Amino acid sequence: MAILGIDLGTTNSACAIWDGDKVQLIPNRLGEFLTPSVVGIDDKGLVTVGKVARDRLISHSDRTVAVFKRLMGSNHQVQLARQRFTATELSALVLKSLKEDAEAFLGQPVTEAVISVPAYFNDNQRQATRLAGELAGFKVERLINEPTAAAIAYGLNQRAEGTFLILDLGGGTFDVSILEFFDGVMEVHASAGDNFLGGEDFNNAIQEALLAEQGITALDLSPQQRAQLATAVERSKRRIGLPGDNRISLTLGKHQIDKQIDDDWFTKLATPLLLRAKRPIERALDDAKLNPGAIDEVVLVGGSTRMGLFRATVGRMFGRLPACHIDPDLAIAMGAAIQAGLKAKDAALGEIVLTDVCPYTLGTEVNGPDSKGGGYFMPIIERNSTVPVSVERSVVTAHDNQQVVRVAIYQGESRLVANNIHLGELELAVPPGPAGSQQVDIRYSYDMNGLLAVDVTVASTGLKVNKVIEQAPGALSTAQKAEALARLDKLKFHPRDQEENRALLARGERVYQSSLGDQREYVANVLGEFDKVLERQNPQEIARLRAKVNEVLDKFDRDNWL
Amino acid sequence: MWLDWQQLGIEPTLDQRAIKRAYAVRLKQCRPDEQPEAFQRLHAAYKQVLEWAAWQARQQAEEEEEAAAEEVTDSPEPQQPPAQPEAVAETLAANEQAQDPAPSAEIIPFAFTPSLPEAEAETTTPPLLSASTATAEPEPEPEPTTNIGQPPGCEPAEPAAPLAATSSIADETNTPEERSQRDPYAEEGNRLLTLVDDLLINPRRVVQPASWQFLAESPLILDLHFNWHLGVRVFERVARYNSQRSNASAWQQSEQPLPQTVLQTLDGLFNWEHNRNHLQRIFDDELAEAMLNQLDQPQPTTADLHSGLRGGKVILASPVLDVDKVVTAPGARRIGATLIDTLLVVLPINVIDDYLQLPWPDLASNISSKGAVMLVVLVLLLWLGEGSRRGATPGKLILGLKVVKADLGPLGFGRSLIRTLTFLASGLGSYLTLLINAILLHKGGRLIHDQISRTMVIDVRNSR
Repeated sequence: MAILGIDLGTTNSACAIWDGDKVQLIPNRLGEFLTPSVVGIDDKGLVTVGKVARDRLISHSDRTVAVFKRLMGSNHQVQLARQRFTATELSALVLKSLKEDAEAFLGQPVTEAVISVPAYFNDNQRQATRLAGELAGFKVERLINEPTAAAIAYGLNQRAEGTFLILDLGGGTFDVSILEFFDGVMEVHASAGDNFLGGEDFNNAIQEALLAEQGITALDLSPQQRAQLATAVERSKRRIGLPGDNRISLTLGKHQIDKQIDDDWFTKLATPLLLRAKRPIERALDDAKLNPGAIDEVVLVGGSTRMGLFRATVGRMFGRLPACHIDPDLAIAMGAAIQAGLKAKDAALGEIVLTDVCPYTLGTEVNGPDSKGGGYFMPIIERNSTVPVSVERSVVTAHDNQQVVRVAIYQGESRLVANNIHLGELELAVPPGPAGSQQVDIRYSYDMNGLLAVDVTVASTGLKVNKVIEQAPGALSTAQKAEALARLDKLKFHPRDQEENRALLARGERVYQSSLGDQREYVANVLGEFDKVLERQNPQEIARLRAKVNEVLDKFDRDNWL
Repeated sequence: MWLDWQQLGIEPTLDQRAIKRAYAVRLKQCRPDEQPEAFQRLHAAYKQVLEWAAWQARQQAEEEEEAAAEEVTDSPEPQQPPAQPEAVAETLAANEQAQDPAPSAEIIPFAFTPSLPEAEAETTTPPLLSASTATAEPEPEPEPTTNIGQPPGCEPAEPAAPLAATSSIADETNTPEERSQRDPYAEEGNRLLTLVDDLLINPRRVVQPASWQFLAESPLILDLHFNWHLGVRVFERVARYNSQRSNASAWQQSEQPLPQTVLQTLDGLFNWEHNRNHLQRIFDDELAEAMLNQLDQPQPTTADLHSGLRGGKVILASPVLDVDKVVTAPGARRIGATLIDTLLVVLPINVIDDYLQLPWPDLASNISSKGAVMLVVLVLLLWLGEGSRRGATPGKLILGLKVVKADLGPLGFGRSLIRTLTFLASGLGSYLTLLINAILLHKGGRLIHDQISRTMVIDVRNSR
């Protein structure tokens, strides 16, 4: 039975399988490869995922949510209608929808999955993603770093050998990975990233600037108006750099927005974000001990790399045009499917071995220089070490007659533990003696699944304590997990067969809401007619009218991708 | 260095391709997911061998070059001892390329090796400062090594040592006077530095991160080379500004060093923290250290987390309480909360009563039905309030108190009812109970009804 490779993205998700000699992308119920990562609850309490939900973002913004991947690994919740969900549960709903699509397409149950995560996701966020997979009914075989997945897809696709720099600018995250591919070995040299930099941030920058120029604060707008603005901004962003008029004109209640979006204006807004993108690139190159000249190819993945400004900036950094032989939206799902094939020991992939890195430094808390007191970070596993990796470092007691040594486990790059992420801690007794007389050996072992095991040994007594950090703080206990599972099971999804009609109605509703006057009335009439035909339940008639309605909507809403 | 050629199963060789091929063969026999330990040994050996081979190759290339140079000049000078630590060798190689009159397009300023020995500082900075920026655009490439470090009128403030490396390169490559006339990079650099200098004498504006935004808006700020150069000069000015004010006392408003928020904004533009080693080499320790220590990037805030969220409504998680850090509620606040709750019940009922002039029949000789209604409402308030998700009556909520179980979990309505009834029993029961409660309260402990219902009242504000 095939293992599903899933790209669980901020904006869109996709899935694919390895069918023995190539990647097979799986279409969703609308026949599309991309499923928007948007979850909504409709008036009947049924769950909707994907395009239908996305079109309802404007009309039902209190019952629909997007970009929740940003909340992964936190305890914050999102309220939809009257129910509350964590980001993990919302992700689980998206995964469930993908699972259904895959099962319908393949005609057999799918229970195992490889899910992609941003390379720079921390431990908590990875655990949350794994849990989302479990809540959706998958056995999560492995989490794969997104740029690594893209690189596998690129390397296999192009049959290219050499050193690649992968830049993955998605909807919400930016990842950089450096990979070398030779003789069937795919070695990741370094990964770095920014978990809060993506296409959505460019949208926000435009949106904020627009509102500031018009003297409107975001609080003046209703959720519907905000969603309408967001949609207009996204559409306009995609037209930047293309020939033709690019104007946002919107009436939001008593506010009027009319703005010509030109390249210079956008460049000014985007510069701080592009400067942020520069940081992880520099760091990855440094960690891999490479200069840009050693990079054979710069590969762009993630939908936001379509931005001309981003391409130009990368081009200037590396003095060459980046490669785009691969679909930036689907590369990650394809890579995840290949990893799934590797995991299943597929014969066609038997000769490929992938080695990855741990992108964060893992360490412990120690006293500062000059005995300034605790709070300082001592790295044990340096970032971008190839995993699996096992490193031991020794510390000594800080006080005379100290009785207990507390080993606090942190992840991060700051010199101060307060700025790093606390993963857990353990304590063990040491025999009394003067400060510095007792040595304690701390061994960190990080495996390929991102599991950290910590072994602490007191040198003089041989006393050993060990701990496996698999439960991030705030993670669910078994009972809580069962509870969450039961809760999600209770939620009913919309029946698949009605999806096309519902998608059309949702789109019509969106077009209706964002148009005015005669146009609005016309759309209303067309939709009303469609409603009537739907009631008569004659499939042929419905299909005929559906095509017609689509035509009408296309006229007003040329950018069907949104 | 001891090299483990056996792990790779080949004879010692300088051929990096052969090493990689051997590693590839071995790797397929011990995959990282199947034999993690064997893999770690193999990978470590592979990395060492590869580094050694690369280093040897560079050494050879250098020797050949030197030999070639000797042949040409026919000079009898003795060869330089080639024993160099690895990192230095690497940078020297890069350095030579960089000083090439026609620098290859591949060298980009930020490509440097970190953690170089002190002694090499002089020679290792040039690759950073001299390489030309590779551009994909067809525009004529201006020589970036210009004198943007010396804007007119700033000469005396310029330290001699820190920027020596830069100026020496500038001298080599061009004549500054000529270039600065038409060099857009120098013009823009000087313009920005003048603005920075102006800003630094305006104590009110200089402390606001937004005042520095003009730097980000420069059309050249994304140019790596320009960015680094400008960053070094801004760093110097800011570090000097701060060091002059490091001893200012809190009340001297105009003499405060720049706050961390401004430094972090600037670090966001110039990535100083990342280039820590290089800045430390250019500037003297005290100056650089004080600044760099403040550059830790802040953790993403909750606002960052849901800034991009579309639709829905974010319910922020309340901070998790820690059993060890919980503080029981102080007595005065508990009494205050009960008073507020009582008033909340008594006042409205009295107001309604005044307004409607309801006839309250006496239930018994000394119990009015009005009092009974008040009591019932109070019981409901306590029961439902403390049993709810918030775990508090309105009075407790106002004063920041919360009722929890001993494991800090919520009470639920069952336990809350027990609690309310025992409270009433203890309150109405007798003066004796009141007295005991007063004593218990005085000790900061749990009251009778707390103990019977196995609950406690904690101070949320001080427990975090």
